[in-house]
Amino acid sequence: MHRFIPLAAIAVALTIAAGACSGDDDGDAATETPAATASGVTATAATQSSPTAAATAAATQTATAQKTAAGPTASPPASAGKVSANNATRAELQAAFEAAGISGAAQWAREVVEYRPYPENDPNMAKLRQELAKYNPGTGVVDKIIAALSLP
Amino acid sequence: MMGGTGEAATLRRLLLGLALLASLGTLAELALERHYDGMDQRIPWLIAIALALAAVAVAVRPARASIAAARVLTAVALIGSAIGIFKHIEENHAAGSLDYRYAETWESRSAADQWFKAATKAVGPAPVLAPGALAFAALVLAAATVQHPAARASEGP
Repeated sequence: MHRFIPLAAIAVALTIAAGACSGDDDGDAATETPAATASGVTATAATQSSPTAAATAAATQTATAQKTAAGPTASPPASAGKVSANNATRAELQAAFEAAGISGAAQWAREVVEYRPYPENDPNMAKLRQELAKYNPGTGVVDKIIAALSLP
Repeated sequence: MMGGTGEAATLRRLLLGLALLASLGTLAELALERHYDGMDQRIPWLIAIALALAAVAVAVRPARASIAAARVLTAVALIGSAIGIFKHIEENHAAGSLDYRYAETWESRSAADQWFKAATKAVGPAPVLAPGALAFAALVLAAATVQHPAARASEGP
């Protein structure tokens, strides 16, 4: 009887190791890809391309003020497509980040999903900022990511 | 009950206590790091819980079965620890292009250079050797079973 215990434990170990190696990234990506087409991110391009003169002037002034105050950390225009930080799929996040001109969009989308959920009473998303800062991103990258997200 | 008397028994108790403490400490660290996103992040929880239970089992009810289970669990934990270290390096490697210092040059770097930077945590957020805590707890547990009287008693003369 006792001699079967090691065999059973080894079987469990191999099962665990196989599970660890397989991961779930590929599966998620595969299932989320279709959702990207329904994200509605591209619809915002039309909104961006036809701002009023007043809005354009205001946006220019805002961007100039931000650059003056904090260097090249200007966020995307407020009209940029936003997706839910807590509910959007990884593909939707990636599409939003790509639309915002963020390099490494797929990786950033993965990290945003990993550190969920984000408190809805923190519109500045301090938790996400703290987590993303661990990756040593370039100046303004985190601001761009946050600007592309909404809560909940 | 504790596996004999004298200095060996005292040392055995200390080792079992240390194994239990290391397992519980690992569980606390996993909780603080919110290390539960997906199945592969939950595996170390299972291993640490199993190590803690095995340490208690060997301490409270030492028998050939519990000692054998503890030794096999040690092998499982060592494998899991090695996989964990690799997964952390892999995580850092994947994050290399996000680091502003290497964003423009990451793809053009050699694979050896990329993996070296990931393994030394020059890029990425994952602590490379943190999964080694499981291996430490497991090895201490295994050390507590060396020449355990309960195992030797059932082997007979």
